Amino acid sequence: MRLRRMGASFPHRLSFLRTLMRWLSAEGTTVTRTVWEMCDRGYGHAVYQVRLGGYDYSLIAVSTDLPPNMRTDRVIATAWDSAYVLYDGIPDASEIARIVAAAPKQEAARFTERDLVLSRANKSVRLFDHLTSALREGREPDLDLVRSTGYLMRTTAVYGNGKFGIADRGRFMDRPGLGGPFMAEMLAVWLIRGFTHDLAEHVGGAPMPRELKQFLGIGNSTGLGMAPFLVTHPVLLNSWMQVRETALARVRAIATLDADQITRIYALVERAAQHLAEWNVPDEIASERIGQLRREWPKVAAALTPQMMTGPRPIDALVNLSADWSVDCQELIVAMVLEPFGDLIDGLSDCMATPFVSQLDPAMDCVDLAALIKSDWAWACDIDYQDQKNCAQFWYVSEEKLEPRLGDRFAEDGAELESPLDIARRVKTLEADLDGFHGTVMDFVMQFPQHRFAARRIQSAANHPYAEIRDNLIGEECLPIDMLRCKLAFFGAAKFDPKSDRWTRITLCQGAPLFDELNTADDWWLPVASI
Amino acid sequence: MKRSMNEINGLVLKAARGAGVPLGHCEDIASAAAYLAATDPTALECLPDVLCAAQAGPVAEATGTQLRIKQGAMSLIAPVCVDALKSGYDTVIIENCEAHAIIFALCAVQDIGVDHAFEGMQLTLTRSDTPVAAPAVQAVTVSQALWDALGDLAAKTYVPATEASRLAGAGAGLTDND
Repeated sequence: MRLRRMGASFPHRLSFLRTLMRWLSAEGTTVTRTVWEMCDRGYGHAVYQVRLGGYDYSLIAVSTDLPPNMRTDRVIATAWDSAYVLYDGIPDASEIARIVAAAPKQEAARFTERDLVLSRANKSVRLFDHLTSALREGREPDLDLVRSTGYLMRTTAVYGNGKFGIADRGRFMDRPGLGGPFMAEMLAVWLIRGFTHDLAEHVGGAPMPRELKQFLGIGNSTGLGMAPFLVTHPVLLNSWMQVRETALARVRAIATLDADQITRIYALVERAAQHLAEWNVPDEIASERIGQLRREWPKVAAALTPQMMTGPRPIDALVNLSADWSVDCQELIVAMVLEPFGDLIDGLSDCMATPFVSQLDPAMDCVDLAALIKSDWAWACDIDYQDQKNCAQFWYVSEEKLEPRLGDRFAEDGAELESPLDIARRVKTLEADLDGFHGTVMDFVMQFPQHRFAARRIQSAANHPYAEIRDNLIGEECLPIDMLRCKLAFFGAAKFDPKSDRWTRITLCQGAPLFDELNTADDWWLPVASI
Repeated sequence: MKRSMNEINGLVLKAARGAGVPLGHCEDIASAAAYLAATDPTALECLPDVLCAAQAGPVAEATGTQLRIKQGAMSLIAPVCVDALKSGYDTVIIENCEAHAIIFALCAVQDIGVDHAFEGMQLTLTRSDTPVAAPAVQAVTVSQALWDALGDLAAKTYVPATEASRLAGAGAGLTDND
């Protein structure tokens, strides 16, 4: 599992938002707006209720008047256009008042275990103002602007799992529908998206066409804060990847396709082509990669001849063919071929979460530990970390915002305080001390306590083949954006719009069912404009 | 103030790193702290002292299936106790044991049942088949003094911001008015 491939990820039917939509659909869930206290300009608060797995949840949304000079999508912002809490249950008036007061303060406030998710979002000012003006004036909005933006607001943080006093994930991980990774966060995001539609209609004073709302997702701006998660949760990362690889193996093993399945794949090829045509970003590198995908995709379509599609193991044949195309194209094909086979793979989503964490096996003989390094970690141990290019960067936590950052080791201060994301270098250092050592791992880490961490990673990787990102995360070629894209694709994000090598904008829920469309919840892979 | 389990785990991990505890041990102590928070929050009060104690490596002597730990910093010997019980030792003796709650918590986190006996400051652990109950996940009250002490240690891992790091370190734009 290499960074470059992770950085080519696309959403697929096992992405968390897709799984959540299926849960909601299967339960016949309805969303009810129970509170709407909003002034004409769209400032105030609202409450939405939804029932999932036998539990009630509520989204409390707070919309405030934000001066333009305070609108920033950086995590150091202190004010936002809107703030949100996903609440456990149905809040009474005092709880609503508490959240309305606290949510706009975000990190500066404290929350309770009734609060499951904390988030905030800024308007896409151009589109929100344009769309509400168009609604007010009864004219059609500029559809090019709608298509190029794709959302009315973008979140700049979606906090879960105990942050700032909200509920630990362990409090609700056994509940139906919320047990999967980031399910509470995804539920919040989907509800926020619906709120943005309601807010625009309220300010504009008229309803939006359904097709327009379907296309309008919720944006997100994501920076480095998300990247270390994949490194610090290796067993969980393994689960995600193993599920995807298992799903891929199942569809590759399909002996033959029936006519409906073939028709479905042809339709998905067309959808992907439209998606690529509508995916325009200013970043030169990303734009070139999308351009290459556009050039390659007709070759993919051409390869899917009736002869191939009716031949033996056609999905396997397509995946094998993809070796001749770019990594981006290969990953798009993988995401596509999973789509028609929900009956075969959707159950795997239950395996996305894991109760396990890495454990040290102290009884292992050091000969066996050395053998694991030799078999699994050559990619790490072959690197010369004395070479400046191989240790050019260091991860750290900023004193200012307590958020992850990435620095230039040879140009910036602070490298002595670097965060331990240098997994590969640590394993190589362990390997050197392991040479000639006789005894068990317990003996070894008693003598070299500094290697306890790396020893555990090595042993864990032996049982979790997708736990480690097999690249040097402190090398000059490490691009954090690759980690971000991988994680965001698992969320279900699309339309990646990188702004540098360490932050990106994305779109979530574009094309997803509206609150009253959950009966048609399962056909929105890769958003395309129908407006 | 009430703190979530994840907040406690996260701060103790950083505090241990700030105190100079080896990373793998930091992870173990942090997981033990979360367990302690759920079962015996007052026992957390010893953590700053445990983390700040000189990081003397364990001096241990093995005899058959018994491991005797003669000295060492608790942050280092607690994981060793667990290692020993997972490695076939059926008895671990810690001659001068302070902050024993961390050892019990770490055993529980790793699902290792133990019986224990004190003789003065000497703690004897023996493996038992007693099942380990998973604690309820809930926020717990942590004294501000303890939180501040841990926060001070954690702060030793933070890098002060510079204008360059603000511009380049995090990414993200300065305005969001488009």
